Amino acid sequence: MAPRGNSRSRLLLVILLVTALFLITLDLRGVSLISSTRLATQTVLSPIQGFTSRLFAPIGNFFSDVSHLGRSGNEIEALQKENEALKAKLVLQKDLKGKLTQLKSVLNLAGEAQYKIVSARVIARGSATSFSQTITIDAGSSSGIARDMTVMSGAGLVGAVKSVTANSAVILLMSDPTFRIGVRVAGSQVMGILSGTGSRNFELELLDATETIKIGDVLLARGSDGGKPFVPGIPVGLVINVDSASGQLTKHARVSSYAKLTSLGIVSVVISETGGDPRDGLVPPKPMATPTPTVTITVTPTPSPSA
Amino acid sequence: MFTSRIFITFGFFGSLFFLQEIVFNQIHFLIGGFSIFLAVTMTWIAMESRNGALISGFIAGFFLDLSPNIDSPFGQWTLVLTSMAYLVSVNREGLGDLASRPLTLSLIVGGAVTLTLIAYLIASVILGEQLISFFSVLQKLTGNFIWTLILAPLYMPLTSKFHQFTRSSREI
Repeated sequence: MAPRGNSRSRLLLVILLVTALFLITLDLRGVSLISSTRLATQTVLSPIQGFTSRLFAPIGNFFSDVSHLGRSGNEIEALQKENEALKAKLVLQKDLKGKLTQLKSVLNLAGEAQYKIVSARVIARGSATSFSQTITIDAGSSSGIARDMTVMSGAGLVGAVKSVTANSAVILLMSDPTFRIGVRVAGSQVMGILSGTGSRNFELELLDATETIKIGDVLLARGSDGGKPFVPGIPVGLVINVDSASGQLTKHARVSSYAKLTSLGIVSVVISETGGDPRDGLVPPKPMATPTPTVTITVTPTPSPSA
Repeated sequence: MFTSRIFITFGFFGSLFFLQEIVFNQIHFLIGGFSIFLAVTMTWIAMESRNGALISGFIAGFFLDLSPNIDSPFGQWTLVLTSMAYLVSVNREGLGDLASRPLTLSLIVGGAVTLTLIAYLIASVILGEQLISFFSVLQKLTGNFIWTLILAPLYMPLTSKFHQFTRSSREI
């Protein structure tokens, strides 16, 4: 016969598990009290997160920056050169300048597309207890931000607004596995669906398997009805690998995003688009190859002194 | 567990939740991240009686469900942490007093955190949620395990001392 304490523990376990299942059922049935609890938490947390993000800004990326050092020899060399230059020029204003640069590039991109945007600071990055990929920004409905709006950085698409409170918003990053966006290839206009995979690369599935796509093709957002959740024309990513296996019904490719999702400091939420579809106008310029100086030497015979 | 003790536990996990959301979520940890909340919760549970562990797991799960960064249904973390609390408390009973064996406690906590994340993933699959790639899952689990072990000398003594302090109240 089981001891009395054990049976009491089992009874307590059953009661607590049933309560948890009851909470899950209520949430899945869309009971507003449950769903608004998280929004209330976000409302309470965001002002404090805004304050602490300023405090932790210099060390926030310390650990991830260390990880980048081991990627490749070339990258390390380039980073070292860049680091030396930065150290010489921007020792005291490194963090501030980084944010200003991000803000400038996002304003440039938004200006070209004639998007009306609200820029905001990233005050928190997801949660280690969750497998979903989100960030929290310090602007919310009081700045005109609403659910399902496009979020971009200076380089391109970042994600979409998932939930909003008065002074903060949670952004679902495009790397989240639940993230889907309709894209088209700049130039050829081939259409496909891009999905997040939880990693740095993305999966592209072409709608028509007979269409061709190649490495280096630029992907732009196709846009949604009323610009929500995605405004058209915004740069999404670059094709880095095409799956050319025959006999498949659909064609797949691997894509890397333009926006560096792991080091976001400033992002912008597109409130409205005033200039219509920019078509291929936002395709980022290809990196220019550094010209190699050519020296031509013409050999001219020296006249002999006897001549 | 006395009502006053439940209030202390509630306050403790509430503060821990704020610490995780306000401070630790600002830091981009290498590999797969680190959850101070899960690490401390598992340490706390490992030092509790069976009933105390169950209630602590339930309260901790409830707080974790409040996180605005979480996409899962409200109650999923409560379910997972209550189940894990039972599993940890039942299995640790045979190991005796863990407070005097910090290395064993660290390994148990590290393993429990990893198991908790796996249980959360399984619950997500059952509830029809979309999962990230296998590599990312592996990276997250490994990262959490390593950080939980590395930072154990920092959070474990503090948790242990606070737990001793609350033990002055009577058990159920």
